[in-house]
Amino acid sequence: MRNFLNAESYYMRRDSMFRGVCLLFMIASTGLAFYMGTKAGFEINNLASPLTILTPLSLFLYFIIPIYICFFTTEGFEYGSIKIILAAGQSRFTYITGKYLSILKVIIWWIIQFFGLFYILYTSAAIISGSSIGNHNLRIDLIHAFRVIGLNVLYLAAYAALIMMVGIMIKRTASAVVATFLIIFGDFMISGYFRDASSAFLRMVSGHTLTTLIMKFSGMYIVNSQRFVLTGARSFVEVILIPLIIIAVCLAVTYVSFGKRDIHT
Amino acid sequence: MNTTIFEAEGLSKQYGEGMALQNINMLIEQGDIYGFVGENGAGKTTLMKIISGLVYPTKGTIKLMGKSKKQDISQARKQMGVLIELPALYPHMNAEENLSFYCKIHGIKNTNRIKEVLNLVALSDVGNKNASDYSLGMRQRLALAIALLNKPTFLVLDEPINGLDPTGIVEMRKVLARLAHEEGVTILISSHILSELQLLATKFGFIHKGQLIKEVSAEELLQSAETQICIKTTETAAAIKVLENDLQIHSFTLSGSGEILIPKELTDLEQLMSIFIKQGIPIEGINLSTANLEHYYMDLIGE
Repeated sequence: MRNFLNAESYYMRRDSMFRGVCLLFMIASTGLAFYMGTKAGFEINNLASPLTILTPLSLFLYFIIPIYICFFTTEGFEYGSIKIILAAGQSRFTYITGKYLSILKVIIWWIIQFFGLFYILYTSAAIISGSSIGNHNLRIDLIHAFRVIGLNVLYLAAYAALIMMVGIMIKRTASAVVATFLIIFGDFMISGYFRDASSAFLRMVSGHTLTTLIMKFSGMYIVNSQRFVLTGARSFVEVILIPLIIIAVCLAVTYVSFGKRDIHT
Repeated sequence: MNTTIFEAEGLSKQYGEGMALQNINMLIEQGDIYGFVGENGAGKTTLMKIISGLVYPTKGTIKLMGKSKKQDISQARKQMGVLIELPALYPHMNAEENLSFYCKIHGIKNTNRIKEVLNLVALSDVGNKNASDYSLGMRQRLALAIALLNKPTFLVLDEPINGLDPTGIVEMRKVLARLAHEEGVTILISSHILSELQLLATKFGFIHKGQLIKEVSAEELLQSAETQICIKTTETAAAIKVLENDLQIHSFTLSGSGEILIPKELTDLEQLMSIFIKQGIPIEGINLSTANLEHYYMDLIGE
């Protein structure tokens, strides 16, 4: 497993798409830090508030990272490396687990990069420009920011499991990318279109899509000009349980289906 | 006693309604260079994929390095090197980077091994060029380098000389022969270039429509080969008439290029020449040829 993880890290470091996404997040963090900072005069209530400023925009991550995950999970079929890896004695279980762990690593890296760079630039700009830096509600903002960041990791992990399952089943990168777009935008549309549906079932579906839940915990879910946030133990349990179920089901399906299938590349 | 490297018993593989492999029983012993001969779709690649763990057999069992349990076979595969179908290369990486990736898969820390295998396949001077810019021959050689990275004791090579130029083919043959003779590497190799396979292999397996129809050693192949007189003429029909009417020879064959092949024991070269000259049949070429792997295979499958 360790050998496979090392090899996957090496692959990513040499992958121009991975580098491209890193650059994209760097540009996005920098651009957002200066755009939002200029609008607010770089004034911050406390040292955690640059993070709380960015958390409502975390939906941005979900349009980029799943596409990379799709490419990454199907690259073995695309380039044929899966043949050599399995023939080298790595088990199919190791292959799937290694891929998933590598994806989790990259998700955490991009979240740190996205939020971290924004935080450093925003705070530095505030210090340099001499804007006021307060100390109000630091604990509350810190808890909120880390909760949103943690949930983003969990939701991206759920997307990763779902896309990996689809990618491993489809095998062809081009078709898997189309399927990934359908998953992301399908979820997004179900979340939006069914929100005001007359059917209670459709409204319930809309309320439990990944997009809706992400918007809820990020604090950007608005219905009839009213902002919905997570309140009460039930909504917290729901927000945590749904991605966990998706991860468990998708990984189980991936292990079983990949473990039984012949590999042709 | 030779150690068995690979053994198949009653191995079958079904894809939908079609049988890719039917009841294959096969034995490869240490030091063998096993030439696998068969037409496209005969089942060569399927068998190699079963050995590599990419495809599951429908029926039958395999033993690899004497191991038959699933977990043990997985471990045994760590001593294997494979090249199956298209070379598995990352196009955005150069040769060294591609090899570094597979070094990590094998847990090889010694980076000198990369230089060694690049030298072995004559790719040490390609520099930083990405694999996407390689010719098919270079890609094939890099794929062989990948297969050799972990110093395998068993090499499984599916059409390794595809796309190689004549020099490349000779170099590849030399490398494989050296590995087999000096390092005792066992090789299972398939190729459509049967003349090359004949120069290299010590044992041959002929597969046709999923069935292993014959296994022979190189010595047996040589013994079974009969010498033939090969005549090339522009007037084939007239020459055949002379053979049948004047010499009473009826058991001759026509090669794909229009040459007449006569078993040597039926006549002698001088008599043949003189009668053809007497009858005014122009002879473009005449020689003695030993039946080769190609003839043997064609005879075997009845074509």
